[in-house]
Amino acid sequence: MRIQKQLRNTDGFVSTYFLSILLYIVSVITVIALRDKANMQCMMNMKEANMYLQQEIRVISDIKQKLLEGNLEDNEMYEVDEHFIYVTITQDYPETLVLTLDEDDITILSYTSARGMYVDK
Amino acid sequence: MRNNRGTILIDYLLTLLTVVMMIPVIILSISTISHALKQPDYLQDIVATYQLRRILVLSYSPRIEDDALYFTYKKKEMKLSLINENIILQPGTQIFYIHVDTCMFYEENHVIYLQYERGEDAYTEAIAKY
Repeated sequence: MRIQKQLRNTDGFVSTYFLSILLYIVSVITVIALRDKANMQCMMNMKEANMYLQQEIRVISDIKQKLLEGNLEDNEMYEVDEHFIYVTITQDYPETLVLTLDEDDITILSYTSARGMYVDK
Repeated sequence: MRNNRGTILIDYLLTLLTVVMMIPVIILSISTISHALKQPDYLQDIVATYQLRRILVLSYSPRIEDDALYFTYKKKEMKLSLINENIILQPGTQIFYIHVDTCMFYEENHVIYLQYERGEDAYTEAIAKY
């Protein structure tokens, strides 16, 4: 009789329904928050990448023009070496670009960038 | 006997407090979900635009013909066009924008723009400067 009374005594216990709903909602919100955090991080990275890209577009367009006109010469920013051009940018977004040229040294085939740093050559 | 009429259990108060504290979070989450559902391809578009710009900065001789953009990239003739609701770079099947209904390219002040529609929304991106 006393055991049955103790089993029926629910004082101090959280309702199972309430607890299950609470846990479910907390889980869903956690997943959404984590996903939003990842998305936000992605957008922040893309914003920074776009800043660098804008800078690279300006520099590469200038080099393309000079290559076509045949008057690209070494200066404090550009260093021409065989089929490569090393570009050192020390402005707002410092980086080093390595442009690969074709065999005629007229067309840029590809480029790589070391962002956030410039390499002393 | 104790008279409990007119009293509120502390448990109920705590439950009420917890629920009230969660309401703003739940509303915020629901609004975020609805916003994300409206624009599921938003992040993909940002990444696609970045990748496309990076390719086009190294391209030469761009020309727009029949709602497609032709250019020379790494000494190969490339074509960017809408195929099966995807904006694809050919040769190959490099997909940039997905779920696109219509797309067109146009040039203005030496800048090439891509304009595309997805559902009721229209987007314009500057993708190259020549």
